[in-house]
Amino acid sequence: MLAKILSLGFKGIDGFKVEIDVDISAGLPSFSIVGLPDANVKEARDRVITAIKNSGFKIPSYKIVVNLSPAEIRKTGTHYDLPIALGILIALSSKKIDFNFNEVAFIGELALDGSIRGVLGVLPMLISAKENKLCSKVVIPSANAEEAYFSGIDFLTANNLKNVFDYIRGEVELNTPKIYNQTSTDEKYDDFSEVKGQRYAKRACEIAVSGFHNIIMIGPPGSGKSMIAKRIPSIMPPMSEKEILETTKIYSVVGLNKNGVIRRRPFREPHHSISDIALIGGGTNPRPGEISLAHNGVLFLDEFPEFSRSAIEALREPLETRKITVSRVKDTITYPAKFMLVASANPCPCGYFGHPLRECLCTPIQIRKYRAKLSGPILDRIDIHVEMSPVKYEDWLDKDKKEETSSCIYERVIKAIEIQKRRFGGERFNSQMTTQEIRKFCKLSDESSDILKSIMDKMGYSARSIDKILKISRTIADLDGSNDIEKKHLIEAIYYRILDKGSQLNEFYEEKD
Amino acid sequence: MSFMRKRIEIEKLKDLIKINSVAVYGPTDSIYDILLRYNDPSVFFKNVDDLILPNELLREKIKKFVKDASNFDAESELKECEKLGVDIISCLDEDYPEELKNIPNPPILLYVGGEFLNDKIKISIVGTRHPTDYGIRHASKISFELASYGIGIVSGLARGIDTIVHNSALKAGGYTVAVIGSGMKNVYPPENKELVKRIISNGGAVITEYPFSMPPLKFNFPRRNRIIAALSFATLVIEGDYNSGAMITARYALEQGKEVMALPGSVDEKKSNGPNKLIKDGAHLIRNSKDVIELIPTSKLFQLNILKAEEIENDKKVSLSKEAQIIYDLIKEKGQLSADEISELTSFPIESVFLCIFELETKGLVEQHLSRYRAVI
Repeated sequence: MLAKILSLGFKGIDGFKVEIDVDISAGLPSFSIVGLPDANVKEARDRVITAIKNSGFKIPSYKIVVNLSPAEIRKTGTHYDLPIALGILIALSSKKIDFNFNEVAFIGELALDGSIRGVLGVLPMLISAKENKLCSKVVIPSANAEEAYFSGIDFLTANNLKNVFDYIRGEVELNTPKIYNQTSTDEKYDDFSEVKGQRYAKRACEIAVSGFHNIIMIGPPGSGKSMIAKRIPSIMPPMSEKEILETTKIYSVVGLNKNGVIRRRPFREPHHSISDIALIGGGTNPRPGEISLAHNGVLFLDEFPEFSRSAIEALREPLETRKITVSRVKDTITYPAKFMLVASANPCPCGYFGHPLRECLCTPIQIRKYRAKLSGPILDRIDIHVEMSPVKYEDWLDKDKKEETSSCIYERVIKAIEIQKRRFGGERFNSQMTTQEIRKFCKLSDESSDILKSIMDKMGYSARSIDKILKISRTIADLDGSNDIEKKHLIEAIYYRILDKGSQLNEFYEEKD
Repeated sequence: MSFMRKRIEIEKLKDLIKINSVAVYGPTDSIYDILLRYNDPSVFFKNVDDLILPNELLREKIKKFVKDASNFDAESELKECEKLGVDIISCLDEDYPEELKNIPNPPILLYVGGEFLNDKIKISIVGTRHPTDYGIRHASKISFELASYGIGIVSGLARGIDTIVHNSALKAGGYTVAVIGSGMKNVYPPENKELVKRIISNGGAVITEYPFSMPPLKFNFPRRNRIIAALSFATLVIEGDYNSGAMITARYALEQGKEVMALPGSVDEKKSNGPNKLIKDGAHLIRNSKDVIELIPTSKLFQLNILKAEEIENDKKVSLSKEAQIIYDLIKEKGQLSADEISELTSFPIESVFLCIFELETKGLVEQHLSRYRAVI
């Protein structure tokens, strides 16, 4: 007896069709699953048999062979339990079953009592099913209803195996629940008004978000780097439908979306001891890494110099191409990774170099070695540098002054983003400008050109950093609603590239040596 | 180089060169006395037994001394000096500096590159080879200003404070004298060879007691400090620990009856130990060039170019935008401020703060130091 039933699988964050063949024949009792199943799929055997039994069906001893086709693609996930169990029941059924097996896909993990549990990766699978017309309807666990709803495909939910089998035999109807409680993202982000002072850093964040520039904050412990970093999402525009979809797909694959939809921009803060694979993705059972979990959001690398050299190196490609391709023995998987990089660092190993009140205990060599980590190709991709320092005396802070709220800052940010949409025609930002685009969009007046030249001579900036200064000025000009880059925009931009300035650190070495 | 002033004849000079070549290894008092008494160096090379000496024990020493001295090739020495344009002034010459005549152990000879101005009023400024930022700033400012007023700056061409004050004097278009611890051939430290050229081409002088090829031996340096102290009316110590070279120079100045001045520093700063102790023991506390001028004997004041000083003050009154002026005054009041602190205290938005700082930085009024901004003094 042979049964065919449809299901879905996913690779990376894309779904594909899986046709399940179930054959039951006489012979020594055995149960094998073929079609490159991963360990979690192989375990389906025990779950399926027990669930069938506990659903009230008798299962005689037979030789059962299940084939998951296409057989050359690896299968992973626990969602094959339901279709496999159904296939067995159908194959054993004496009555002929009239059901449109070509049109309906089944997904679900089985508990030992036959009930259906939620699974990973539902959204990517259903999105692909809808876009590529892999099937017209799906039966999914009720726990995954919100994701299914978001995919737009026709779906039905079921609670247990027997329910679904009855449905197939035409004896019951399954329903589509209405989604009332969407995982809400009206929870407020932490607000910038909660940070006292730090105008330099706040302004830097405003510019960074507006032009999608990466940013690094350097300062002693307690200067507010983490606090400010966490508030960056509060001035980012809300995610578009497309962005919500992409991000949820990624989270769905690792089960971090709590079966719901991700509507808040991700904010990922991996610890500096993280392995390269955990950071960028991959591994023997490939998973998206932190950079993909930060897709459409912020990746915050606190204590940047403490990250391993190889982890930092691994960031190079995704920062450039906005995706990451992980290769395994037989195939490659690509995960998207478009994120804003926010890094923070201490000015020296002890953290107090340049602190107004505390003394730095480091030797010049220690400082030099530590700051050397702040150089190289990664720093090259961080446009904005900010030095932060606690205000020297508390009484210099105007306590009664109301700090600007995130929504105020956001008003300006969104205008700048609109300008860039019109300039580039789509989802591109100033930070991504090529050299030709810089030449085209960042023309300087004579006055500004003179200033630029004197900067290069007097203050020791290289030609490379000049490009970055121009990009930043472009964003500052956008924030000011100005078509031209004026002198004041250019001058302000210089102060966001302090790491480039020739001498500052060297003068300190000569003194101490 | 033409010897325009009245000098002793070449043969006697050669004898003196020989004598000096050995004299530099020890005290010179006895040799100097003998030279002055007889006014003729050749007496050393005739019969030593005929010399009238204060003390018979000296006779044997002098005999050995003369034996070593006779081997020195004064002929080539003269040739080398002539080739390089180095003048030699001996203790028997008319233009031998007066001040040197009265100190213990006067030098027998001075090799002089450039132009030594005897009558010009001069001050010695000395200090550590590893100054702090504080020492650097004040040394350069004081030297610059004094030089622009017309006061000559004497120092030792060493790394650190010495180099800074020579450079600042040159920057002001002033007169500077470097007294070095080696022969003219082996200027030490080697990186200051350029500085030597610049001093000479700008009308200054480089002086040494040491024979042309003598290397910068360690004991040469404390010794030459007595000349530094002697050539000026006062010695100013910028920074230096208790037993540093700068302190040795100060001690010589005291011994010679000259004024001693010192730049005070933080009690926590080791490098200010020397100057602070000097002040405690009675040296003049100097905060700026004005404090130095107050100590110049009135008889010499007429030399000075006070008018030029006013010019410098006026140059500094650069025109600034209103906001930049506010920020500049604030920075001067508080010492050092970060951009954030400036923004908090003035309530200017951070963008305006940066515009003003740019103006102040490019006009040379403000400089960045460890993420804060401070006034350039």
